[in-house]
Amino acid sequence: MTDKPNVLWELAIPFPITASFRHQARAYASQYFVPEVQTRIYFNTLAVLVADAYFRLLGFKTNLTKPERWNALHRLWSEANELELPGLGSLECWVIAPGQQSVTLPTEHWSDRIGYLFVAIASSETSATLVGFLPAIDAETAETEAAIADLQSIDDLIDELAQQEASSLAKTAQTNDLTREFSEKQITYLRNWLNNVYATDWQLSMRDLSTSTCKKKIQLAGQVFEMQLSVSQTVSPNQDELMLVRVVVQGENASLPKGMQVSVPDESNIYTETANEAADLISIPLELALGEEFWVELRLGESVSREYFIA
Amino acid sequence: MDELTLYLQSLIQEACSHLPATPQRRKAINLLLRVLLKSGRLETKRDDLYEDALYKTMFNLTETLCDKYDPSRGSFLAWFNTCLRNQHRDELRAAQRHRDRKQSAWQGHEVELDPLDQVASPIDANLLLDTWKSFVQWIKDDPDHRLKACHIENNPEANCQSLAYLRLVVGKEWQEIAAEVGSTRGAISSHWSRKCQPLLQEWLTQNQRLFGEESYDR
Repeated sequence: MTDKPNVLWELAIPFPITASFRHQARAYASQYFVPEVQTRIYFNTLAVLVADAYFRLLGFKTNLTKPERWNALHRLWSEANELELPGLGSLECWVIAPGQQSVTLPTEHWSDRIGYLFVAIASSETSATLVGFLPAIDAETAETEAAIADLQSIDDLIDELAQQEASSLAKTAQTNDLTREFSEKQITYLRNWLNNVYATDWQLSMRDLSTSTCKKKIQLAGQVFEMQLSVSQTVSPNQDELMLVRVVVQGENASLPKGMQVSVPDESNIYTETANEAADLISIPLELALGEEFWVELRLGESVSREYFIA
Repeated sequence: MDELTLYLQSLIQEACSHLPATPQRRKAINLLLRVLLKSGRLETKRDDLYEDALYKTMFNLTETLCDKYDPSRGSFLAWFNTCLRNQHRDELRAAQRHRDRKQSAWQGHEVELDPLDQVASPIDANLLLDTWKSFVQWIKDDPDHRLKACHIENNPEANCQSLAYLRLVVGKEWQEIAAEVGSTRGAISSHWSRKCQPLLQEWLTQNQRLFGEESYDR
C-alpha cells in the first residue's frame, strides 16, 4: 500500500497569509455576536481568502460575494466558508487543525457545489496549507465522515476544475443577441445592492435583512418618472439560486399618463404593462437566475428609455 | 546551475508553452508554485509585511512570467528573490508614507481612511443586534415548540432548539454538541443543515425589518 498521507502532503500547497487577509478576516468576524463563533468565522475567512488568492493566481475567476456571506439574514447562522468559481461552481472551505485525523461533512445537497477544500492554518497565522479536496459527489454517497488520509490531492482538484471548465465552456459557446446588446450599454449589477454597494444614479430607499430597494429618476417625454427595484435572493425547491426583483414605475408627482408602457423581457418574448386611466403605478415581479441579464423599458408615445440590469 | 534551478526552468518552459487560462497552463503553474514555495530558497523577512510582499510578487510574476523572464539572464529563483526584495521595500515605504500621512492628517484634524476600511462594508452590526437578540430569545423560549419538536429519530435530546442554542448562542463545535446530546457528529450536522437551518431561516424571514419606508403592497 503506497504511503497515501505522504503523497497528500507532498502535493499540498503552502501559501502566505498576508496582514491584509488577517485584517479583513478580523473585520468580517467581528460582526458575529458570539466570541467562539467569531473565532471560527475568523479562521474560515482566512481559509477562504487564501483559497481565493490561490485560484486567482492560477487564472481562475473567483467570487467572494455569495449571499451567505453578505446577506445578514444568512449570516446569523452561516459558516461563511464558501468560495465561488463562476461558471464552475462553489467550494466549501474547511479549516483543519494540526493532528486532526478526520472530517465530518454535512449531507445537504447543493447543486452547484464542486466539493470541499481542506485548509490548515499555522498557529502564527502567517501561512496556510491547502491540504486536500473531496468532490461533492463522493461526500454524498460515502459516509459523512472522511479520513484526512483519504482526501484527494490539490492536483486532483485542479484536474476536477479543468473538467468542469471544459463542460461549462461547451454550454456557453453561443452568445445571444441580448449579450451583444449588453456589451454596449451601462449595466447595473443588482447583486451589488445586496452587498450594500450602490452606483451613484440609484438611491437606496429601503434596506432590510433580505431585501434591498433602490430608486432612480428617469426623464421621458418631458416628464419625470421614478423607477424602483426591490431585490432579494432566494433558493428554489430544487436548490437553484434565484433573484426576486419587483419593478415599480410611478410618476414623480402625478399618476402615470394614460398609454404609458413598462416592458421587460420574458423568455424570448416581451412582457408589457400599459397604464390605463387610473394607474398610480405599474408593478412587475420578476424571477431571475443569478447572472441573468434583463432590461426595463419605459415607453410614452415615441419616447423610449431602457435600463439594463444583471441579476 | 543547480538541480532546482534547472527544474524550475523546465517548469517555466512547460507553463509558457500553453495559452493562459488553459488547464495545461494551470497545472504547470500549480506545480511551479508548489516547487517554489516548498524549495526553502525564498528570501524571508521577519516582519508583518513579508507575506504581502510575497503574495504580490507571486501575482506579478505569474502574470508576466512568459513575457518578462529571460533564462539567459540568470536563474528564476534569483529573479524571484530580487523582485521579492524590491516588493518588500516598496511595502515598507508605502506603510511609512501611510503612517506619515495619517500623522499629518490627524494633526490637521482630518481623518484619512485606511484603504482596507474602504472595502464595501456590510450592514452595520448594530442594526442586526436587535434582530439577533430576538433571535436568541426565540431559540431559548421556542414558544411554538417548533424547534424542540424537530429532532433526530429516537433522540428527542438532539432537537433543533438544543442544536441552535449550542451552536449559535454558545458557539460549540459539532463534536462537543454531539457528545452533549448523545448522537453522532454526522447525524447532527446533517439534521442541522437539512431540518434546523430552514426553520431558522423561516423565522428570520418573518421577523426582520430594519429601516426605511413600508414596502409597497405586493
